[in-house]
Amino acid sequence: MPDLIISELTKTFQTKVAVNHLNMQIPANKFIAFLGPNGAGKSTTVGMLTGLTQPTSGQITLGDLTPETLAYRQQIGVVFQYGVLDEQLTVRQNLKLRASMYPNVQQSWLDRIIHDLGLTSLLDQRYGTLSGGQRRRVDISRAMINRPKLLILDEPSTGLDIQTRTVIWQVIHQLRKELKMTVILTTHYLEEAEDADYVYVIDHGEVIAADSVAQLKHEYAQVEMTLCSPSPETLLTNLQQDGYAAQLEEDKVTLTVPDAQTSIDTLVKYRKLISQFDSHEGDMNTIFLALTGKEIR
Amino acid sequence: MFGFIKRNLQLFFTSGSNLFFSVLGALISFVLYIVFLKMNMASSLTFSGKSAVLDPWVISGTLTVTAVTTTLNALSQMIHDRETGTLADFLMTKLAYWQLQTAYLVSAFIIGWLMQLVMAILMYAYFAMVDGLSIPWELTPQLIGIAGFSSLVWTAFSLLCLSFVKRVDTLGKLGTIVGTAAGFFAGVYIPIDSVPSSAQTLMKLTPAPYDAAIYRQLLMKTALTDKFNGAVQGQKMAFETAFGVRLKWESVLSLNDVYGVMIAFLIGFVIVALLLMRRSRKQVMVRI
Ligand SMILES: Nc1ncnc2c1ncn2[C@@H]1O[C@H](COP(=O)(O)OP(=O)(O)OP(=O)(O)O)[C@@H](O)[C@H]1O
Ligand SMILES: [Mg+2]
Repeated sequence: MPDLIISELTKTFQTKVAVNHLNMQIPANKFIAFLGPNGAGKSTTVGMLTGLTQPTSGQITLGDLTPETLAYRQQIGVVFQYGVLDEQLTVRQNLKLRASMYPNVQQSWLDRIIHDLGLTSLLDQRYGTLSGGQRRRVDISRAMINRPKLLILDEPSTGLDIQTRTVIWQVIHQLRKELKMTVILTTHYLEEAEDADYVYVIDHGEVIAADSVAQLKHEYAQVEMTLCSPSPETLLTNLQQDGYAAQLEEDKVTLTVPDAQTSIDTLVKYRKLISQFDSHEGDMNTIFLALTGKEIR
Repeated sequence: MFGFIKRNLQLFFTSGSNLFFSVLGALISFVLYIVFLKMNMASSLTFSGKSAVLDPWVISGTLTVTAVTTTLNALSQMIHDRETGTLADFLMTKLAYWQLQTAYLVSAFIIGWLMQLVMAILMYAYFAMVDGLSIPWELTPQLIGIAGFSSLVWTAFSLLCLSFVKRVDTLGKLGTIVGTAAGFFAGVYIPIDSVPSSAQTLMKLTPAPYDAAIYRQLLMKTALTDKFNGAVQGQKMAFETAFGVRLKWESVLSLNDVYGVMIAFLIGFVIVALLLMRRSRKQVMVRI
């Protein structure tokens, strides 16, 4: 599959800018995460990637295909944020119907994904009566019917327990390998983004950071230190005089420093004032905080 | 596309409440007639064996109402699917937007057709039992044909109505209004002659009285020939125009004229609906 290229993609609703001049080049067979808080513009971007929403301006191209074409849509599978199958029909009826609406879907393939996602015992239950996690599994199997080259998942694991999430991701990663499928995931779960090859951090419809998780950590994650002291006030004043944004929290001094070396220097310099300390590297949450000034979760 | 049409039929016929509400308007006119209107109307007629005339008369009107409400109800699935995002999902398949739209229309058409036939059977069965009405089996092919034609026109009408509807919420209200109005426009509650002439004109601006007239001319033919055999010239015609068997513009319309009017309505609805539909693709994603 050629690269998926998004250029200057913009979507405005009346006066509200939901997606603002987005640029991305997504190579085949990669696992990409869009990380962003509520209202960041993730679903709107997904809508445009599926060809269901018209961009206000900008283009999306997959080789020489654009999202309005049937050929483009044949290449992709989507798990929408909200379940969209027929509530009154059974899982089997739903999947069979969708399968019949694609050219030559093999029964063996259908059986395979049904089995992999553990849906065998749910086949004759009505979709509307399934639990949230069961629905999600059905949604994913539906998205896989046409062996997509590009799978787009809009917050697939919101409200799911760990086991279900694990199963889902095992299946998706397995299928990704087999089908050489690109996966685009939107999420506000940091753990999920951590597995991605590449993360786009999105806020207010704009990409505010784009890199591999390791690189993002390297660049934005600072070292968070917590220091215990017999005289915390003195320590705080000293640190502040040195230019650190240190804070006092319940007799403990907290501060962030750019890297591990600086943290050692700090510890050495004030060793007499420190009785205990804790220090760890920031996770995606701190990255996010550093980038947007907002807590995620 | 067949799979998708089958799905629409399945959703319609497996939902009991859906089925019931789609024919509620028709049931109301039918029940009103049985318990109340029939006696009223019969008292104004002079000949004997009134049921033979009045029963097919109400069947005709009720079938028209059935056509209106069932096609609208069936086509509503389109709005429903749009709002829930299901349409968006179907758009990801190999079917193009216009094919899905066509499939919704075909489904509504089939549903309207079948439901009219079902209602015809139920009503004839009832009257055969209660009034001893003889069932005109020989008219079956024509009845099937008219039901199909009427379903076609009303499907186009529903498409036009639904072009204005974006939310399922509005849909319920629209259904109620159309369901109630249909009985009046088809002239089932009261014969067309008994309403003020301005109201008559209003009725004639919809396909409802024409559709009912086509049914009446078929289903009441034998009974009327029978009753007015040897009656004074013009008496039969007077009765027929009073009860909406024949409709008058300047002069009395022939059956071909009535079909012509219906076809004109059909074309008109389709054209306007198509003009309105040009923007509807954009609204597919009410919710993503
Ligand atoms: N149809 C619409 N009309 C008006 N505004 C819209 C519409 N759809 C989305 N928006 C606005 O665009 C912004 C982006 O919405 P979007 O659904 O893309 O966010 P999101 O990143 O998917 O959020 P979440 O994590 O809550 O799903 C929001 O502020 C939303 O209110
Ligand atoms: Mg969203």
